[in-house]
Amino acid sequence: MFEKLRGKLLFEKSGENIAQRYIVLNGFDGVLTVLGITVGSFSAQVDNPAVVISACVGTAVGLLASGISGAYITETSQRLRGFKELRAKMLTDMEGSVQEKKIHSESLVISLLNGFSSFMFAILGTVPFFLATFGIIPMLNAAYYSSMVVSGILLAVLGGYLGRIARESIPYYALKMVLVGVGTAALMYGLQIFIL
Amino acid sequence: MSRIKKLVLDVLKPHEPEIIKFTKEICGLESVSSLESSVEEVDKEVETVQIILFGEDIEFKEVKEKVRELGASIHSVDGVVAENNIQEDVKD
Repeated sequence: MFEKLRGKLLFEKSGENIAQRYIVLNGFDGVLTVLGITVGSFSAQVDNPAVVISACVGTAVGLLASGISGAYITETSQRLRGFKELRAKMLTDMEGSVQEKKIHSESLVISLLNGFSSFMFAILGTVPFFLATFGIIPMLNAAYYSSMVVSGILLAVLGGYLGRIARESIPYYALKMVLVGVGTAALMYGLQIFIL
Repeated sequence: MSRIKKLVLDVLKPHEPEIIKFTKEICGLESVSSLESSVEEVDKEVETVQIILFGEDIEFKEVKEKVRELGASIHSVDGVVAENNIQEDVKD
């Protein structure tokens, strides 16, 4: 059933590769954005989880909206241009063809994946603060450390996935991604020293 | 009443859907029992494919519509095999 749906919505080679790329790229965006907020809040010693949650969820919603709309407009315009070029080569109007139908269905699927990947990854990094709200874990400092660890794990998962796609060492790619996260956190922490 | 048993078509198609999917889609038509396809020429965005269709009574209109739906176009009909079924009709 999934194969059938995929066949109807996406061209196997082109659409799937773009979707894969967007999931990782925007997942990465989501994780690092929340990591930045977390480190910033930690430096400022924000002890109210609701404040961090509001900032993270607000950012996640922003990423969702920009991810969906931005990718949809970009993908549609690019696909439309490609379709017009193809139509010129085919010397027919290609009206009602699968190529014409897939301009919108592929763009929609890709843009939804694009938006929701950043949203999901951003929300996952916020989970420890939800737990702190319910008193399951203490806000200072367990929630912050947990959130940073969750971000590290998510980065490792994304890196590992990239390693699998590239058929290279999964731990090496995972480590590279985690190091980017550590670098981001260090940069943010350093900047906070000047700001605060 | 004669029926078309075999059709040889010269088709220009985009690279996607690729040849296997393209062949399976056309072979899924009710009037087509089997199909043979081969890529004759490959260009940057399009390719020329020869498809040979077999069936008991191939509906050309249905084939043409399916080819169009897949974004391709029939360049020419290069061969046809038809069979006269008067005797069978009399028997029926």
